[in-house]
Amino acid sequence: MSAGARTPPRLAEWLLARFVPPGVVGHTIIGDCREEYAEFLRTGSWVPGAVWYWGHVVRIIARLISPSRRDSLGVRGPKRGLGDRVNQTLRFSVRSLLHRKGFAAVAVATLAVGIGATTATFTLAEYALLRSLPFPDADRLVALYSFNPERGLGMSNVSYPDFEDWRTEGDIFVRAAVYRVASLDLAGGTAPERIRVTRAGTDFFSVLETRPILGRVFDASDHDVGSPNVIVLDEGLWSRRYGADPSIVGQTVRLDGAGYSVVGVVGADGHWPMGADAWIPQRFPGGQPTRRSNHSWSGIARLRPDVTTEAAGARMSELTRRARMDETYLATDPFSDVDRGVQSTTVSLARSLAEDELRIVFVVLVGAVLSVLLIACINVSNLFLTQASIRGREMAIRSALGAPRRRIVAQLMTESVLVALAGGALGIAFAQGALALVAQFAPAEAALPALAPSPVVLMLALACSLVASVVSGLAPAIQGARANATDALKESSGQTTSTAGAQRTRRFLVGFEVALSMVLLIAAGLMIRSVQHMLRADPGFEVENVLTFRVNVPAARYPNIDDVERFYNDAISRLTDVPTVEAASVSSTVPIGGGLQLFRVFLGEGDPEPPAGPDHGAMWYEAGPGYLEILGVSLLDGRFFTELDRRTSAPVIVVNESMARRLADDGRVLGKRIRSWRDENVYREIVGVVPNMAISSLVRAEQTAVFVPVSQSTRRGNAFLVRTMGDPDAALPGVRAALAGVDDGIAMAGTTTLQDVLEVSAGSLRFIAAILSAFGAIALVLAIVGVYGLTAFSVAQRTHEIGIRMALGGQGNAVQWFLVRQSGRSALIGGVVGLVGSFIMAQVVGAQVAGTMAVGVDGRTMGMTDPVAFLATGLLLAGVGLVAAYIPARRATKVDPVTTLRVE
Amino acid sequence: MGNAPYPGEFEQMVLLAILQLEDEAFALPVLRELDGRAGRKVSRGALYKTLERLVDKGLLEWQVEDATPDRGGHPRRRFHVTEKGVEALRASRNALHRLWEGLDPVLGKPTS
Repeated sequence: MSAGARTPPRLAEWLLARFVPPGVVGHTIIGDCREEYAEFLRTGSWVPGAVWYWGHVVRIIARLISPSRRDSLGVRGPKRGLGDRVNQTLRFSVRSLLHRKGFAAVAVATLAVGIGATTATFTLAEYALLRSLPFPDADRLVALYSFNPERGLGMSNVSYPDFEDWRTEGDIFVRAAVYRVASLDLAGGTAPERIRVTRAGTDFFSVLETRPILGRVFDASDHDVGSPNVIVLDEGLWSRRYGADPSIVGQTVRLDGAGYSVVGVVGADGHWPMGADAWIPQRFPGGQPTRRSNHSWSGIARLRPDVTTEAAGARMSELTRRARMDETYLATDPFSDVDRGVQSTTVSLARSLAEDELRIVFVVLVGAVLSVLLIACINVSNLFLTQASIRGREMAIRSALGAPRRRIVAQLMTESVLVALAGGALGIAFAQGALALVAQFAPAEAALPALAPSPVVLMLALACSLVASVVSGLAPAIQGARANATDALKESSGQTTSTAGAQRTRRFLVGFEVALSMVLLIAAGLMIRSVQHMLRADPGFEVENVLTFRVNVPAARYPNIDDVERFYNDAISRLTDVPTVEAASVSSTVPIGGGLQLFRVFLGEGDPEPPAGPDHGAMWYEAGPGYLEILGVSLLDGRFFTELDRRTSAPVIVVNESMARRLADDGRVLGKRIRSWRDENVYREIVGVVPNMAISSLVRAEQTAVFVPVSQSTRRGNAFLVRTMGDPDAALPGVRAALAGVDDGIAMAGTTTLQDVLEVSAGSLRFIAAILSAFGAIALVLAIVGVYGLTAFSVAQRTHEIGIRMALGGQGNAVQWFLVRQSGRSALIGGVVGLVGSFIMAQVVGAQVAGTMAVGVDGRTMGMTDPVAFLATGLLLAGVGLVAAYIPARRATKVDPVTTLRVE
Repeated sequence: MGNAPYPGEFEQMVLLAILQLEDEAFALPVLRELDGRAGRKVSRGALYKTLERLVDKGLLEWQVEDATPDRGGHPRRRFHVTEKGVEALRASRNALHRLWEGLDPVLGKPTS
């Protein structure tokens, strides 16, 4: 918001201009305010500045229009014309609100909470879903995808020959490039480090229009086979590892054992993909890839100015389809039968960042926050309604003296607009504070910066304020204008009047408020229960005292796969020699913490190939001996891998419980042989069955999975799992030394404990639940205050009637019960409506978030009709309604009837 | 009140602050002067009203000066105490002086 920083809030200045004396005097006052604001900004930031300015303006206006000695000031007196009428109404409204400071403060504060929460949520949603990327004309940048509806395959990478077709024939891109991401060991300097390296295809940086902050990026010749190895560093890596030394350009760094000459550094604003530490040019020593069914490349492109993302997708699909009809492809591509139905599309690069799950989360959050805003509006509306009742006589007198009805409506509406705008201004300050808090407490992996509301969000906040003013002010205004002068003046019992219409409106609002807060509270309750459930959920293995880290064995120094196997064996035996280590094993995947995520399709021996026969999909993990013991998992059947399962021994496989049931109805699968169709295609004998474990992710229900021995794989990168005696951190130096004893050039990456992995995985969900709980709490407080205030007011209005009842011999208890019943009825009806609404909400939201919020390791999902959440919320609100009706009723019946009747 | 009405206490303070500031008597410096010398935190609205009142009474006059960059093009007013204003202050001081006389044993010596 630096653009608006120099000038004070426009609305405030506009308001000020309405109230200062006309001509040059007024201008000098506005100028003084500007000058002070500018001075304020030299020491503070714009948000406190804006709040300060608003406060000032309000005080100056209050002073300028205070009735005493107004004439001597030369403030414009009443004149004819629309502008002056507006001014008069405005001034009258401000004065009227300042007169009722308590009411105005509560109304402004209530709206500020609602608008503040809305602004903060919109800002977060905008950042998460719509954030623009830091590249020039970023809206023209797209990510390229293929998908295969026939095979039920979602967005996946693209194939190189397809990409070349689109690039050369498509007439859709200004430029396009492919890339791949890899993890490599960076040596030299201090300890070796695993970094994320992007192999950038030709034109990669020119697609993004990235300019280096130091040196250069790649040119076409860098992609030639045989040209010197070059590397571009990310600013973060450059400052972290090389102390931002500008002489780095021209130096050589060692990556997986090979030397690369640094040619440039790219700043954080020219950075793609997210999290990349360095870039090296993609080269094709064996010629460009030709197999069309190999969808293994990430693609990005800059669209031509006249091409939309949809048109680009359609044209790409057309080319993809044409290529699939080519005779040579059909005859030579081994997977042409399944690859035939492939289609292609583009997604805006910014959007490709926002995951679907995140989208749903924010839909839920925005829905929740709008409910909070609505509840706040209802409260303010109620406040205005009660005010309208109190001021009934005032309105009646004005009307009797000839004030046109529209003037009264205009004045009441102006009051609510002023309250809403003040609430909006305060709400923005509140949002700023809330966002700072959110940034501080957000899970670390979200890397959430401290955000400020963008101009768009501020406009939205303003719109919310105006809508809020209409929502909260319209009913009272109409009510006020409708006040019948004769009726109102006939009332002699006090200063307050309350028509049947006003009471009806109030009762309706109480019911509506209860219903709405019920829905919101139940939604929050369900979410909280979901997370609680998840945190309690048994991941299927023990997480205490397990240290984990990943390594990669570089081909440069271990060219032979037998050497790789020897490295892992040596490492395991050295690790188990460490006194604080109980056991050690190797796996392709850190449970929940990521790593290799392969989904493969399996066929039983003798089964016909699909589509003739069924196929069985399962996650593919690789593990070494001791894996199950470290995770504290006991076998269900058969055996796990041992040192005897070697590269040369019979291929074996272990399946989990779900997979066993998939392969055989009775789950008896030992001795059966299955193969991973079209991938490894080797028959493996099932030697064991293990229970289901949450390996891929805690939030996704784990279904079918298989394990194969690490020793029977050719993968070079694996994760170590080390069970320690006592604190894993204390064992870390010994572990480090043991690994360095085998090879001190191999870096340990992502060193952590399983406990931490689990915590981090639960962190995001817990955070969302915390935000929702905060909304729920705000809604609850607002609802309690609203329901209580309204009921108390209704009862207070009937003091006179209660006095008569008591004077005629009514029993205190009976009268109390009568009042509680009357006031409680609308709350009760609201509660029932709210319950029904909650059920509907739970179904709709439940359907939306299924899979995202689904919890459990065996496909169990969290019931969105959790009775505890429903019951607790219902009881809470019912209790509030009863107390809200009881306390004022009790007070009213305790007053001496004579006192109440004396008002007469 | 005759041709030189006694200004009120706050009005006197404003007039004196303007005299102290000489050529720098703009609204904001007056505020600071009142705060710094007299320890009076004054709201802007109150100051503006007082200034207008003093102008109405003929004790103060102002001229328009060009805007500084911080003021977004809005001019500023430089205030001068009129002859009548000086006369009113003098009359007030004399009157007060006579009333103060001989009260040191009760009130103590004035502090600055």
